[in-house]
Amino acid sequence: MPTEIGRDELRTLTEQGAQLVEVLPAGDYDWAHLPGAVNHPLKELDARAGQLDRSRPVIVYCHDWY
Amino acid sequence: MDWLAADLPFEGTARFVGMFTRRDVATAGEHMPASEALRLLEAQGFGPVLVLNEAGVVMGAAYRDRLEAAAGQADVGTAMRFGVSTVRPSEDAAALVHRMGDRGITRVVVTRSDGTLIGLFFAADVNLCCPSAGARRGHDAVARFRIDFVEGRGFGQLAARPGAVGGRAGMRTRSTVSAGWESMVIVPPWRSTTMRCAMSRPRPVPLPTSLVV
Repeated sequence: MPTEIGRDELRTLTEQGAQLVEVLPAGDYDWAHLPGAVNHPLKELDARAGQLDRSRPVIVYCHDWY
Repeated sequence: MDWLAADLPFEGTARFVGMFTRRDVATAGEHMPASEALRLLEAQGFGPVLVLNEAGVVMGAAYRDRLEAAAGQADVGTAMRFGVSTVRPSEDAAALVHRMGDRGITRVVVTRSDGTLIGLFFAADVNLCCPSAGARRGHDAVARFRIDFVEGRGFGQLAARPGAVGGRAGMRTRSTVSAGWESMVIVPPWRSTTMRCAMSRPRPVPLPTSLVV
């Protein structure tokens, strides 16, 4: 189940190996994204989800979240 | 949550205000003697002195003229200006430079969303480099130029060392002076990503002390 987190939790989780995914279009990602984030645009998320490691938490964010 | 407005790191090509913000600014508590704040200001070389509360939130700004006029051991709090305008570090630097040029201001206080101080942003600190001119002229280039597009509207800024004169005919420019570069903000609308820099070699011109506070 998705859980809402804040900045501090984000940093803690990424330090523990969580995967960070930006779902904005590639242009937005190129312009600015959180350190270490990968880009899986929302429209391509289903197709790309298989690239994520199922054994580690996944943090997903879009514009509202940074 | 606003990651960028909190001055946290990011990756990408964006040029945010936080990247150009001077962090080593003179600060004071409101009960600091004005004379001490004035000493800090002079030691730092630029200002104003930013007055913070215990949480690091910007309460106001103390400028040289008010500090000098403050009597004897008067507190900074009696000399400061309340309610200074602030911007977030996540603002687009070029867009802010443009707005500052419109309003004729050279610096602005940068804070996080909670009002805590990050530093001072000087329009002239933005790297206004024309790649071709920079490559041709190196670090001692007389003029630098950069153009940015914001919401479909393009604008640029031409910067030259103090004393340089010039610009492109037919282009409205606005001149501001700071401690480093003299900047002329090109007013939109803008239709081209190219322009010719027509700047002459600078002559040594002393900066007005009133603008170096």
